[in-house]
Amino acid sequence: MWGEKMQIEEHISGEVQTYDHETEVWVTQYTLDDSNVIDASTRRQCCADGAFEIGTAYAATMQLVCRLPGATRFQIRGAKIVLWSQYGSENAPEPLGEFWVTDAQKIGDIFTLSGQCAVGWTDTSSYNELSADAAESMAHLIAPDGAAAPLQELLGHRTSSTECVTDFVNMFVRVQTGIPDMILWEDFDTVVNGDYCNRWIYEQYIDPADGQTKWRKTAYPAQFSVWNGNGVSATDCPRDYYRWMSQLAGGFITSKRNGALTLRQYGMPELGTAEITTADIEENGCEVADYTLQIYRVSVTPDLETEYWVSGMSVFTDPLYASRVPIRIAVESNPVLDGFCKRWIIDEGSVPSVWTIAHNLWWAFYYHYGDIPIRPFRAVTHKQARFELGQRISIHYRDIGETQETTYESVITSVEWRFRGGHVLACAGEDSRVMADCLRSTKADKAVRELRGRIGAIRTVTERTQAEYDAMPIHDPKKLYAIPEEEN
Amino acid sequence: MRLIDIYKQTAGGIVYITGGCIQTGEPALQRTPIVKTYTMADGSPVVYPSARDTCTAEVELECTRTQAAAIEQLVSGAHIIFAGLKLGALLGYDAQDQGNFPPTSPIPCIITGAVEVGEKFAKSGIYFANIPVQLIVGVSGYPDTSGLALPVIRSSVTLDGAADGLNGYRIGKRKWGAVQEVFFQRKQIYVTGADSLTIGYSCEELTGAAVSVTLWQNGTAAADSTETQDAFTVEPDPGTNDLVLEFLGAASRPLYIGLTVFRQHVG
Repeated sequence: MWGEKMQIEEHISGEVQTYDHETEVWVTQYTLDDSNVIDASTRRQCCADGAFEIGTAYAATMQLVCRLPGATRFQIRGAKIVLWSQYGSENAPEPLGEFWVTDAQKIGDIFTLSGQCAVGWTDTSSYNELSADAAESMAHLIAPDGAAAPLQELLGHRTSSTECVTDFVNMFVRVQTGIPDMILWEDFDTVVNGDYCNRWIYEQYIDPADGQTKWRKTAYPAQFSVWNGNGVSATDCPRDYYRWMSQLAGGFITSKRNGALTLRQYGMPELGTAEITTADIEENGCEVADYTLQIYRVSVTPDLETEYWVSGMSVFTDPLYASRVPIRIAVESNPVLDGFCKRWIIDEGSVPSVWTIAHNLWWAFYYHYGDIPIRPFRAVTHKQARFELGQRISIHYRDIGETQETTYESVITSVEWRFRGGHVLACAGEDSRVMADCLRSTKADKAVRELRGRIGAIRTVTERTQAEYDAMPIHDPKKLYAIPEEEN
Repeated sequence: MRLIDIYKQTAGGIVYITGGCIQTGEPALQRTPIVKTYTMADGSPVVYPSARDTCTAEVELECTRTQAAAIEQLVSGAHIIFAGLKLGALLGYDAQDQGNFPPTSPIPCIITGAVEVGEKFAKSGIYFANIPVQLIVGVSGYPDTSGLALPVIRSSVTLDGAADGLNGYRIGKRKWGAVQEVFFQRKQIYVTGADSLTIGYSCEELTGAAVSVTLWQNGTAAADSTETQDAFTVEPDPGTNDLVLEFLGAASRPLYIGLTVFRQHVG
């Protein structure tokens, strides 16, 4: 006989909505509930399977099998589906996300639907403008009139006349669909989570107390832009801009379960720490690596489109090879980074500024929110709880043959919810040990990189005279920075 | 074994496909509660209860070449209606008769795979058709107003011939195929209260035949629209070749009585 504590009651509800252009509201065409939903699942991830990365914008996906008498595939394809699930222990239905149907198969009244979240809409561009103009417009929205803005402002919602990336997406989408405000953006909560990565310029200094070289925060915000000189980016796709900015923020773009897009950082306090035990984990449903991933190097290489070349890196000098697998984060082919570096290096002559980018990214994983353990794992769990991407997790697990539970700490990079089937949680997949690098780039980035490489091979190098070198500005930290409070 | 008529539910209504196929054996019925159960790593079970079951079945039919051709036209995804197929009882529901023939209510019985029309017996020209179907059955009660429940399954027989009175009721004989012979008859009778009806029959080579009788009530629209089926057991009396039916219930009502006699094919 099963005891009460071993029963998990779960109910599903949802709405299939279409947009009414007459009334300009979303209208529910069909209601979903236990009686007509046969199966459902959603999946969110912030890293590719088998990898760990930053600067991603993965769309959450949905699979739904349901009975919709009288519906046609023409009605359902492209419709918006809003899903909720409620466990017996929850007081109200919990949102699972908003998804747009990308594929619909029909057998009789039974529909098998696939959908993806609002991130999918960011994979768009303006069809009503020449691509060069659109790309330049996208670049200018980040750097209006050549001005730079803090990353926080870029990723937040501004009320200025210059639209942020989200507003630009909505503009593109409205041109194509007639639907306004298709996607929503919710700011990173700095009250709860503090500043995110690369909010401030950090500098190295020599501590007079012990003579050691250390890092400290300056009073200067890190300001980003897409430089006017290369304002025409190779891509006018907003999703690329989301990726570039989130890479510099040390996080990822995702859709929350309420449907809004947001930036997240690994281990941010707002997410808390999830906890699962042996009693929550399905039999033969858990694998945990006996190592963690160690970011031993962060390298930052901007493309200055000049004869100048700079790079910055932050290196963890003592990798613990016995228990950790070293990985490298490489930030390159990032026009937002390029704009930052061109402003500070070319205009201000501040060479160490590119180092602050690398340092902050490394800092984000080991000091900002404390040590973020990245331990690859996969677990199938049945617990009346909800899990989030980037959330820390404590796994208390006793495998077959073991006499006691072992506690593993990690961070969640993949969450799959299944209707009356629990959650499948994962971090970094199963192939992390063979992973040597951690690199994110879009197809456009790769194409640009290849093209620039070819151009560089045939480009002639300009020689500078001694007088021209003498005329270049000299970086003097004492003049540029005040000396704020010491911080390690 | 039963005679099965096949209909297809279309947007324009119910379309007759073919009839008189013989159900061979019981459908391979797999009733799977949508109650999902998992075992945790500490050995404890976790159950997600549900109010629905998924029911899959494969129906095997014997048919002629002409019927086989009609059945072959059915495709996966089609809503089909089996008239005469007694799935309801196998699922734990009493098979109820709607009193209408052919049935007018759609049965969410969906073909989930290819309809296979199989081998042909050279001697008899008999084909076998295999139809995989799926039903989603509500277990919270019947009928399930969610629309996914198994609706009324007809237990029906198509009969020809005329009755010549309650007693000494003669059953006509229709030869069907060289191997199997089917005899059926239908007549409307009027039963007052608990009553008994003796039906005499004669049939050649009836030894070993399995006899089944179906009974359904079709009240007039004004007087009685209740549709029920009396439960009864019929045992042929080998001595007298009489069928004695004991009717249950007290209400006077008109009844249709169907009588089907099957014989296992030989050879």
